[in-house]
Amino acid sequence: MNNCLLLEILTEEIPYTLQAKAIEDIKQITELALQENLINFDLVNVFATSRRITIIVQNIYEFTQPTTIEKKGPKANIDNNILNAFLQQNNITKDNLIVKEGYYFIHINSPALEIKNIIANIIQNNILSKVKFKKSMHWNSSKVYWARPIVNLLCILEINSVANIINLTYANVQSSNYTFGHRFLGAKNNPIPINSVNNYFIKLKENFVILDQNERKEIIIKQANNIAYKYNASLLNNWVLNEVVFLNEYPVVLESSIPQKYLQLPKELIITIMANNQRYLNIIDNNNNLLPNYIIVANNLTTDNAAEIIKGNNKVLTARLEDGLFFYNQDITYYKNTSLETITNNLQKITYFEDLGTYYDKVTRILSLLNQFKQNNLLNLDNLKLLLNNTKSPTSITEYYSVIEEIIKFCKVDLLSNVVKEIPELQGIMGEYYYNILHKNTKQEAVSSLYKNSIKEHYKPQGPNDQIPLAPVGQIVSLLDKLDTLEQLFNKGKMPTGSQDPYALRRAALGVIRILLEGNFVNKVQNLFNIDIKFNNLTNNTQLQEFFTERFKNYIVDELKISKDIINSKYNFISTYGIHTTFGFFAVFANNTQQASVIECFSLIDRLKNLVKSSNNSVMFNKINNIENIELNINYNNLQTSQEQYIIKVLQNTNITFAQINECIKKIFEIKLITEDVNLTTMRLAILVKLNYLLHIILKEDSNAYYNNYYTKKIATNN
Amino acid sequence: MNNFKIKDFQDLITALESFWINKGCTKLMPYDTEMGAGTFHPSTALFSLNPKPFSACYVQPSRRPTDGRYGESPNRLQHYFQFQVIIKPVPTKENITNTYLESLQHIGIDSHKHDIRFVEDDWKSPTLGASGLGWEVWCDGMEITQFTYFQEMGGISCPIVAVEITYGLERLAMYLLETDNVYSLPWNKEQNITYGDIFFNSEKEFSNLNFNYANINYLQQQFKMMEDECNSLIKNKLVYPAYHYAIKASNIFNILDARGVISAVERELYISKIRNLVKQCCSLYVENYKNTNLQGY
Repeated sequence: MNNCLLLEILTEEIPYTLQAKAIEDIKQITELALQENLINFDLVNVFATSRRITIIVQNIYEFTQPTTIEKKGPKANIDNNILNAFLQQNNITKDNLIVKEGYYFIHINSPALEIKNIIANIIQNNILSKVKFKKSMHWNSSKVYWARPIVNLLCILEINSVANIINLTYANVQSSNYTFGHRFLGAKNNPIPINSVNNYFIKLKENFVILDQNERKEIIIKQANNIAYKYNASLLNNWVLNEVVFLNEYPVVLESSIPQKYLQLPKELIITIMANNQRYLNIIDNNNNLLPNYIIVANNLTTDNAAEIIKGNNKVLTARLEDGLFFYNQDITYYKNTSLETITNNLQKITYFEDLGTYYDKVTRILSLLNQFKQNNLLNLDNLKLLLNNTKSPTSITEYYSVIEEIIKFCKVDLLSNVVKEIPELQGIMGEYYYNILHKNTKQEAVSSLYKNSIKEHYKPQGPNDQIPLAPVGQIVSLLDKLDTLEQLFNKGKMPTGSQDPYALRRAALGVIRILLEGNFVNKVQNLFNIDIKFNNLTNNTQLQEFFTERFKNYIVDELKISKDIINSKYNFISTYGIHTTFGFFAVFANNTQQASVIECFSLIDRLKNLVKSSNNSVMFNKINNIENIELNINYNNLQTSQEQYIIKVLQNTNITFAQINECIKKIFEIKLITEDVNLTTMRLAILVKLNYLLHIILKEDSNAYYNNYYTKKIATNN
Repeated sequence: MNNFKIKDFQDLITALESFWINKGCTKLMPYDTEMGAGTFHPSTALFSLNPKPFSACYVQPSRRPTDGRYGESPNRLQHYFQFQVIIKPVPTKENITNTYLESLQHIGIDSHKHDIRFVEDDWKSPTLGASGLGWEVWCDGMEITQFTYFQEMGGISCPIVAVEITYGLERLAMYLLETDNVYSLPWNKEQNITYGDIFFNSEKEFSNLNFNYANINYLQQQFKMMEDECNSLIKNKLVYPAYHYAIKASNIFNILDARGVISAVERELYISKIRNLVKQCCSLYVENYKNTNLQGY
């Protein structure tokens, strides 16, 4: 048996999020505490249930590391008085001194200490008191803060197979030589004496405590899956699973079913009610349909085979779903019997934001933004027509715009619904259901793919891991909605500062940018929008324009993992080609094999620019600035140098590569560009300008290729 | 400790009272003005700031006007009963969560047959300026108790932490007596008197009052009067009467809310006014009664 330190902190039930973080923190705190106190060990493991955290330090050394600290003293040839003062100050005699490099040094030896004698202090002062919870409480005169009251402490140090019960005190709790098992099973509330580490594990198991959270999780997954497999289905993997692992010490997985009456409800509503209020696990089939069977993870083995538990849970679930059904039916009745106009007008009842009016005002503004987009050609009309043609539908552009308008009018309406007032996180999702009920047979199926789920998805993307809306209409509405939010709040001076962004404006701006970048790849329309990279046709607010630019640059940093400096240095050059090419260009950059040559290429371009500027011959410069005239300036018979010959040969190819242009630019700088012969100089400068022009084209093509490649791959891995 | 076999609503009250009296609590009477929850009772709200130990239990009728359903909902009421337990300091001899579980056993919730869990719930009362950490206690998925360690009351950090245990009596009774409709709960089984016999009619009429009939003008004036009176009493250092008026103000706000005349902005305003009154009462209480040599609370 290896040396081992065990510390169990038994408490009252600690909330899942706090406990999960505590496990990570305590491991690090323990490792640090041991290292700082010169105690060697192999591994620290931390296990936890809702009621206890147990730290196990494996292979802990019996003694601390002995150390020698060297303290520098006065010069070796110092006055005796000063030397004596020094000796007195450090409480030593001259025998303790050594001389090194002309100075006196004291060697302070710290002997190895038996950790048995110091571990209690270390635990109290370096471990327990360093633990901080996001939310904590005090409960007794010690004024110690912990997530919930501490009930018991058990500390065993096993050295050479001898188990030492360590005495320590924290938060007025005196450590003991026992622990407690499960609240209701085994020994229940009776103390269980523990005399060794091995004994601890055995006794816990006997008393229905599964200490290892991973073991509990496996048990739950295995048993839940067994139930799901019976129905050829699988467990819905959501946040509930991780939380449920910490809602018990002995997981008992039970099966029950949702009463038939409620299965008509939208599945998101059912799942949200069951997860948020009751922590039930749901089962779904291969088509993502919700099955009526659900799973309760209980914390007790009962004498009646869980009959009462299941009965009780069913009652509660029925009451919850009955409430949900009541609200849902109220909503349906309302939407079926009220005109869209009245429904939209009711948005006047909800305030959007102080000073910014109601949601009715917001919807009005978004409609007017749509109009501006139409008039200023910010929506690519040709591509939109292409979109409609692809669906083989006779829908005209005008009808298409009217669909977008209708979606805009309806997208916020569910904020007034009873369901969303009860469960705000269902906004958008319920809106989609209600809209479909209102418009069951009035839209052509062929076009429906263009606006399907637009209401549900117009809030997307809601985080870096979330997708953008799939349907083109969804993307348009999402972009306009976010743009309105940004413009209004920026106009009110509510832009984010430093770490404060209470209105999630960074996320909104990033959403706009991602729609611009990724939209092509999910809706299969090239360039739905004609937004300038300076964002100056998107908004008049210059601060907002800069904000968008910043977000775009940061997005490139995060996505491609290249430095902001590189982006800033090349941004102005490449941004003339628009948002897509700019992104693609930096994607080229991030691809390391190209990076070196691209950087070199740029430095050459800079020299090239300076050279053309410094030629001081504006007539010549203007002549060759016009790209069509370049051909006229190249006298193929006057190619004096091998470099010029090489370059001209390259230029006569049809498929010029990036590497070749790179080589040409290097070569052109090997010859003298400004000569006394005006024609020669003109020709050489013309070659230079043409190379620059071709470089731009190739860079642009490469960038576009990289842009396409990047997002094609990304969308594929997301699906 | 004998386990009761609860046969009606009054049994449940007796059982809980006898259990907690046995554990050292003093049985108090409900406070005699309208309030939204047992926590408003001075023996909880004010005593929680007193440094002297104190343990009590009491039934408190509670009014939540917005929850009225005219007697049509089987389980939602605008007037209902809470059973409050308040213990300060947190007991050290016996763990209070274990004691609480014993109380469940005592009223007939057998831990061998049920799944009892402590599920995180951190409690806040904006009007009382109070907050605490604790749990909802679930029995087979249903919440039956709110369990809270107070950390703050009236904006003042509690010097000695009190533990508050609040049982929802109707809900518990419906669970124990296997009734789905609160009005069919037997209140006095022997005399064949149900909960509905006593409360159905008044539920209906009070729902009407709260949603349709209460005079808005009078209510608004009354709120102003309660506020002014409370402020004046505070100036005169009469903390118990001042707090009495603060509670009244809070109840009037609840009725105005049910009446549907309070906008989102106004709600914040009302809540902060009430909180301000309560804060001043609590500060005054601490000042008046901080001397632990004083007899009484």
